[in-house]
Amino acid sequence: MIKIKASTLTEVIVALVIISLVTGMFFTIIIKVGNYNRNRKYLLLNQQLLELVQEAKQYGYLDDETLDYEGYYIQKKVKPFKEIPGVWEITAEAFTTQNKKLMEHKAIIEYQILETE
Amino acid sequence: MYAIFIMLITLIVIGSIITIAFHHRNYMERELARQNLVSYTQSVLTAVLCDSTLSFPWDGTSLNLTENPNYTFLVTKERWGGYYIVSITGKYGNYQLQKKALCGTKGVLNDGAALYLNDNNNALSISGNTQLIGDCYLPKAGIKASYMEGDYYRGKKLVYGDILVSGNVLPTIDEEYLTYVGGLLQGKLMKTDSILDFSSITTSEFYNPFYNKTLYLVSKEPLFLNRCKFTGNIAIISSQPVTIFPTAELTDVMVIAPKIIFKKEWVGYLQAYARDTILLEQDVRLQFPSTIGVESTKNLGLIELNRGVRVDGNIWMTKNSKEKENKNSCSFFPETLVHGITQIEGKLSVGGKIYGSVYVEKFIYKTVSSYYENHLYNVEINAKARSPFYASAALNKKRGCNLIKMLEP
Repeated sequence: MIKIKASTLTEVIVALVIISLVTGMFFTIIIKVGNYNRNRKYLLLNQQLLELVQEAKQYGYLDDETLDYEGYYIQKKVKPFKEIPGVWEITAEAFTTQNKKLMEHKAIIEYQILETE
Repeated sequence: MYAIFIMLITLIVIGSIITIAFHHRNYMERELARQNLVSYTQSVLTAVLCDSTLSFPWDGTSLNLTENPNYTFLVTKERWGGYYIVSITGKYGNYQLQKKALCGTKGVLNDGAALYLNDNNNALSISGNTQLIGDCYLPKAGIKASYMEGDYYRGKKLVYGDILVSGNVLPTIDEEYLTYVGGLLQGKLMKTDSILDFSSITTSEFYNPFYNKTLYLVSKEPLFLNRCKFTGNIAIISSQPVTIFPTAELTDVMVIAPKIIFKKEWVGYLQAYARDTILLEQDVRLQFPSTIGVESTKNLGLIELNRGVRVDGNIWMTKNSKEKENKNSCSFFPETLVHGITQIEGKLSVGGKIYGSVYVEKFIYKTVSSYYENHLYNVEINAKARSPFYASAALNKKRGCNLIKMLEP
């Protein structure tokens, strides 16, 4: 029968704890980096939605459109707001390629279409 | 010993990563909320400005901007003289955003007619280089070309627009607005208002942002505003005449007195309300958004715009219908330009240009020897020259609003 000394047992336990901690750290880093990238992408996607709204407001891009953005796609829908002339309700939505809706941003903007445009 | 050290280091690293990740996630959430809140607040402001059916205070939920209940909005609309101040407070958790905007009503009375002349059974006579551009509401007796000082009407058409029939009462100014101005002219202030005696002021510069309560500077002595600067949410109320010199810098403020005199070459933008008289000396310039109004209880009101004066805003004078006689009179000397709405419940003598609309009971024209009623000579009234971004002084509250400017905190 092999007798394990108390000191050896402690070393094994300590070694196991260290290994599990390092492994845990490794996975934590991987998960957090993944989360970081996902959050960053959410932020950028949200910015894209806001930019679409801003462009519609500034330049009068009032057509419905679908855009690709780094593996996602963004859909913009425009409709008149309460039938008030020159006021529009814009809904911009971001989807994954599997058609899962990630986020949505709604805005009310004013853009007068002049007769010469 | 080494093992404990390694464990400690590893734990610190894991703890740090979790903490950083937590803060990063919080930062991301806050950043997203901040970006969205700015956009939502702007949307709420747009909706408030264009939708005249809303009643205030309003929470903006009917817009359905977001399904997230953490976003909340509170919109209030207060009067600032002839204009409105729209205040929007947007919240997301602890994050709060407040925006205030100065705005005026978009439309003018009678769909932006150039002229509304009360039907006093007299036809309107025009001569010389007079131009009426835009729809005109005229007495049943109509309009005719005539001679004035040997000068016959030179235009091809009498009116460059439609001719419509006027009634014998002018379209009314917003009652609530007149009550507000009447209260100020009577010096009616609440105990909760911030009131300061003008004589106790030791500084020559005052700035009160519209994010604060209105500051009422009250005086019982005649005021001579000279080498001073008043900006923002300030109402100067005097029970004696006020004289404003070109060295007085007044921005956004209201001046309320029985008589107000703007000395030669004064420039600025304000609202001036008087019980009796407002005089604008030569080359005075009231920039947009300005308003001058006279509410004469004895129907003895007087507004005078001397040569070279330009007013970008509104001019109005009301009469007391309980008085038998109406001696209200308003004179725009030659070379004056009024860009906005003029409503005079009395006589108006015009010698310059009006880019906008005129609502008047009677025109008068005086020469050295004669006095003519309902005569226009060398006058341009042009509704089409009015800027589309122009906002009137709440003369018609049924229309949506035009943003004049965002107010700084």
